[in-house]
Amino acid sequence: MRSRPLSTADLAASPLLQYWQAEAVRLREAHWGPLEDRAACQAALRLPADLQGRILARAAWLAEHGELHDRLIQWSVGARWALAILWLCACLAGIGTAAAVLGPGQVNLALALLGMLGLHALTFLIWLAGWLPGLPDSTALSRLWLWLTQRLVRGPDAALAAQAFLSLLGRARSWKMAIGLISHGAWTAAFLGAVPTLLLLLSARRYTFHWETTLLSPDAFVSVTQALGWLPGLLGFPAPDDAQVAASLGVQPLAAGVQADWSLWLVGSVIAWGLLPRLLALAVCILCLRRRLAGLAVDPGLPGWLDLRERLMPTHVSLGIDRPAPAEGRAADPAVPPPTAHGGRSAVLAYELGPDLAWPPDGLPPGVADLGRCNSRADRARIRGLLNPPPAHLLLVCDARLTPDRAAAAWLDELRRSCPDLRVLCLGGSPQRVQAWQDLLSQQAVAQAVSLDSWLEHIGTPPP
Amino acid sequence: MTDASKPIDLAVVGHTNTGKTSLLRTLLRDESFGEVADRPGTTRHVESAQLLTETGQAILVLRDTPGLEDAMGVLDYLDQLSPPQERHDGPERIRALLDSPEAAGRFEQECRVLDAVLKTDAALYVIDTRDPVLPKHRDELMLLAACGRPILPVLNFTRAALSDTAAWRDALARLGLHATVDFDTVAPALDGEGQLLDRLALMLDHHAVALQALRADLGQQRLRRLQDATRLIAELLVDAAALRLPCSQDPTDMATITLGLRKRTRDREQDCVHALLKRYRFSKMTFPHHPLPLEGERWGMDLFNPQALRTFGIQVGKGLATGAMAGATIDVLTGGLSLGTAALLGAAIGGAWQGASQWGKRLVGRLAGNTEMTVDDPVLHLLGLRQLALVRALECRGHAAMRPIDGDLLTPPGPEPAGSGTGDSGPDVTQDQGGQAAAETDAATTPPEPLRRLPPDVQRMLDEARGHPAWSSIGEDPVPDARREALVGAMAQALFAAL
Repeated sequence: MRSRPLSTADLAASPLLQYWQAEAVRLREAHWGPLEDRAACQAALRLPADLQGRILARAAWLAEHGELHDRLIQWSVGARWALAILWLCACLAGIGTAAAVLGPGQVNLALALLGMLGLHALTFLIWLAGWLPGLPDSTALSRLWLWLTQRLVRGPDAALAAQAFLSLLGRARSWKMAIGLISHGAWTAAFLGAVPTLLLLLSARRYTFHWETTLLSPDAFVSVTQALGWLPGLLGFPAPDDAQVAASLGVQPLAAGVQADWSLWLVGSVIAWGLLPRLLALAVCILCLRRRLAGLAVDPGLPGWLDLRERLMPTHVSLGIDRPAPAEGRAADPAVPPPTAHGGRSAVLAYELGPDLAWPPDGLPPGVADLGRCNSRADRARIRGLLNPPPAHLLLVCDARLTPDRAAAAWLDELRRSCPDLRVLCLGGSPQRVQAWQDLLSQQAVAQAVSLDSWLEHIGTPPP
Repeated sequence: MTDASKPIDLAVVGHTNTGKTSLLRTLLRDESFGEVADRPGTTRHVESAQLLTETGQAILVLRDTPGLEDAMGVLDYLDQLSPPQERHDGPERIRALLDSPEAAGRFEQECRVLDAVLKTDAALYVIDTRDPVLPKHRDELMLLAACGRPILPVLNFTRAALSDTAAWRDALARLGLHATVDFDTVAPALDGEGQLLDRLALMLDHHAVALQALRADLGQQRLRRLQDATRLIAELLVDAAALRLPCSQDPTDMATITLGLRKRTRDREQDCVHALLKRYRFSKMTFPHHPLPLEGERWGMDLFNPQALRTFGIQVGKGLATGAMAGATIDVLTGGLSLGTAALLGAAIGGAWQGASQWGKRLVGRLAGNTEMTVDDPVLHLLGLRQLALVRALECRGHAAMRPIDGDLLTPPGPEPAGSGTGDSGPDVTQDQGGQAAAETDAATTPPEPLRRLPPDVQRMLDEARGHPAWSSIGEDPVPDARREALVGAMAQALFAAL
């Protein structure tokens, strides 16, 4: 694993490579599950808060710390070589075609022109037709390409590189441009090979030009020659005049000047109808491709990137705790001497009982004193006064629908210290809350009463 | 404190077990923040987190505090420390308390809270509205008021059956606290956060701009979550619609292929559910009852059961296959090919034969008597509607909710109310004594009008997807395609509009 730091210069290096890497990582994660990316995310989080930048940085980190980066570079070098070879082949094919078209010495103009421009015109028209509205983006071509790469290159990563590139171009809607770049480049190379060959052969050898027809009238050939010669004429290429065209039936030998005119007309036609349109189309493709690729952006909604937002653009960060919590509240000191009872007085007390629960309870015998509700600080002060001297038996009735709190614990502790026999009755509440109260009671070493009647039996005062 | 670049600092205070940590969980959309349990004193230290904007700027610090439990004891002790006639102001008295020995002793927890409040800009006083108003609550508010910070009471569990919001509002008004905000942490209102921020902006007017920005940011985040969710659903639908499995005419082979088709679809749906949960920052525990592929699936929830379609109100035509073949369609010869002619034309003009060869291969398969199995239209609609219902349920769910979403809640309300007595299947860590179940049922059944079918636009797009087996990521030979991405985007928009 290389530990090359991820500098901003690196990031700015090649936007296309960055997007390509990101797309490859995305496709890989979408197909084979997420990669281990903690360090990558940390590296990305160090960048300014921008989702796209962070996604790219994360992908770059992952690619560089795996084999992907090298694979992509390898693949792109391979692709460039392939393109160079393709163009070279095209150039050679252009040279060959030019040589073949001129042949040994007798040149049939119609066949020569068809040989030089026929296939080119057909493919160019098809390419133009691809721009007609309503046609699907030429996905079939891309599939062909992908199919080819899958068979040419071994290993999942290599296929991934092509797939990612394809998907990237597809999303930027620049696939047609890329295909155009390749094919127009090839045709340009072909014509760049053909034109000098033509010139060379025409300069070094003597050719005789003629045209032949059985079916057509000679006038048709005259008008075709004129139409084809119009554009080269604008560029300064001479064209044979009508009489010369009519005379070039191959029956009688032509003057040397006419032969030269014909050869220039042929070269002009190849340049104006072959090289020029391809060059123009190539330039358009390059310009559009540049613009489209400059507008590349990460679509965070795509699968594989969608769940990155939460991690790369956290909406909150934890700031931790102030300081560790103290140990849990200590259990009651059992060594408290039991207070001595004064007389046989018994009392009941309501602790923070909900207003919907009636107080004092029905069926309270007259011998049992009601100390009232204990809710506020004033109540507590009043009750402290009433508990001196303390009753022999005290029942604290509490509302188990409320959560027991430290105030309750403190109050129980206070009562326990002043009353010899304190019991607590919990009313209502969910099992969890009742359990919380029971925990509190056992912590404070206070006994629980099951019901009012059982408490009355306990203190020896039967209910009335 | 008036420095605008500093984040707004808020302390979340309240009596014990009123849902302070729950409020933070819901505001932060983080199920894992702190610890939540139905017992007193779950949080025993001050735990803080800050909300960040889109640009990564800290805008709000939220401090979760322990419960203020013994306000009476603190007030008694304060009177002892500095008698009221000594005319100290509130914060001074609180500082004296913090310097006292009991600040590390009996009142350690209370002093932590008060210390936090003194350092913050405002306090959110969380109230469990199911509790009766008691003098201890007034004492707590008095103690907090002594800190000299604005207090915004937050009424929690307002959607619970036992809540007494009116009594609490009345009691708060008597204490001079007229601005309150309802915020049920389990089932928050859709704009609950926004209302909370609006109230805060009224109290902290020098922070109003930042709070407005935060509010806008939260709205953006919500929108983006919805967009992402619909996109996930659109991906699922395209995957399911484009799924196309070749099979022979042999009935046993057909049944096997159908099982495979169902399994792939179910697994894909499960993936989508997990992705949605993840996007909404819920754990997988939130939705555990979803039928897992082929094992222990619940009868009523099985995707391929015609009954499931009917409960969702999807019209089931006469031609719907049942039994072993339910939910799958044998594609007749015209089905796929007629849809594909445009693509075929495009492929031909594009000058390539790869697409055509694929069609050709399929055509040869047809001629050899093979067929293809695809997922039925009603099942696709059920898939989509179910996921949309899940999104709606997640939208209305607070991150404090601990009860899992029950599968039945995803059934839109029919003429008779959806089964509400289904809450016993969850684990026993429910937040309260049953009020929450009602709250969640409410939350899941509030959407304005239930959809019976996916919108016609979506149907059209699904039809297109059917013609492209390579678009299905769960299919035999998935190939990335820009047109598929465009279609998913468009479908997500259509679903978003329908949501």
